Amino acid sequence: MITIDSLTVRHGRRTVLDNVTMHLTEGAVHALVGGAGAGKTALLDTLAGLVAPASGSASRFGRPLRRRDIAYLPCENRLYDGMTGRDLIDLAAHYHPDDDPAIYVRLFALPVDERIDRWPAPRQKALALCLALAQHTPVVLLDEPFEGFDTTDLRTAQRLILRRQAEGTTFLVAARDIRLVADIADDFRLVDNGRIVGSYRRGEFAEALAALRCKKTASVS
Amino acid sequence: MRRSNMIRILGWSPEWTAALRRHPQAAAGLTAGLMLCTPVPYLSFVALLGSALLCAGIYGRNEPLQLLLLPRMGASRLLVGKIRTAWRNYFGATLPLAVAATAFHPRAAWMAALWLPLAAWALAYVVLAKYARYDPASPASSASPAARSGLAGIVLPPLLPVTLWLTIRYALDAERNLDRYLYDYD
Repeated sequence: MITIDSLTVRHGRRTVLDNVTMHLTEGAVHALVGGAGAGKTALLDTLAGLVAPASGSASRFGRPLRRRDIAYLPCENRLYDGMTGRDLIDLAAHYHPDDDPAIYVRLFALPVDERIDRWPAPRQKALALCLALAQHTPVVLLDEPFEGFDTTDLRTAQRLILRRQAEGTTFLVAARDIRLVADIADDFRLVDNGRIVGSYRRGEFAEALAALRCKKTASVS
Repeated sequence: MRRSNMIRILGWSPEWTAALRRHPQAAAGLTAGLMLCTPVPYLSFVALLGSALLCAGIYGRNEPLQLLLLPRMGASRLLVGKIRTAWRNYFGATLPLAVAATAFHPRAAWMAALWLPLAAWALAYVVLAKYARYDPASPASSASPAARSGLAGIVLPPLLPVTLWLTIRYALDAERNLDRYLYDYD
């Protein structure tokens, strides 16, 4: 069980996460859904240790969440532009000899011999996703992992996530579009203004969607 | 899957691999230029030191490594490994030229004795300066004006104390900074 307890994060005077508390069961896919600036990325950045919280904590089985337990795919692609895909895959396999991203990369048919900066953004994202999944950490944080994916890549990525989930990995997946995570998430948490404003189980997808639409309508009006 | 040879040859350094893949012609031109300078008395070591500063500048300009690609090792081990790889790659390419230059002009051997520590210092300095500012959440990675002026101290003796002070400061900062991400790998 991963416990996020009263997590508050501030960027200057702005509170980007406001007293967030969550209990995440192990071996499940948990979806965080909300618009841009809702606080999803701030939560994942904090769990990954990139941002220090103003207060609160995150623990796993009662002990602070450790860096070695986490693989994190950030929202933006920040791979070494000058390198080829093969360079990065080999580098990852060298750093983490027990993991082999090549197994995952094959499924996406990526142009591994070309320089990364010449790839379209969704292809870069697919490679970064493979590198994150290949680490075999017990917790994987994914920020907008399917952005720009076509249907084939989306299905492949979802299949890989479900395969890792079946092995016991816990996923926390942030997405702006709830439909992208509808097929894989065990539960949905709606995030708005740095707060969790709703929690829904898989069977309650329709309610989650309705709540999300309601939020959007309210914010537009 | 076929393996990449370049990154293996370059000691698994993403910085050196990215630089060579981005600027293959510049690297070839630099090598040719250094080879042409080898028989010229004294100039060869000036050119070699210039090449060390060039390599250091390119290294510092590379974007930061994504958090998910960091090796699972403690901060000090990572820094030592990065410095050793930078030395290995730079001196592996230039040491034969320095030996040849010394053989051509034994009276310039004192310059070799000066070039070796200064080049090693420049490369170590830039690794430390880069990781002192390392932030996997930010794509900006260009060296600060202070870091650049510190590098200038390698060739301008009056600035050497500044460079020495900055080297020590960056070494402490780099370890502390990397420790934020690698604290449980010691």
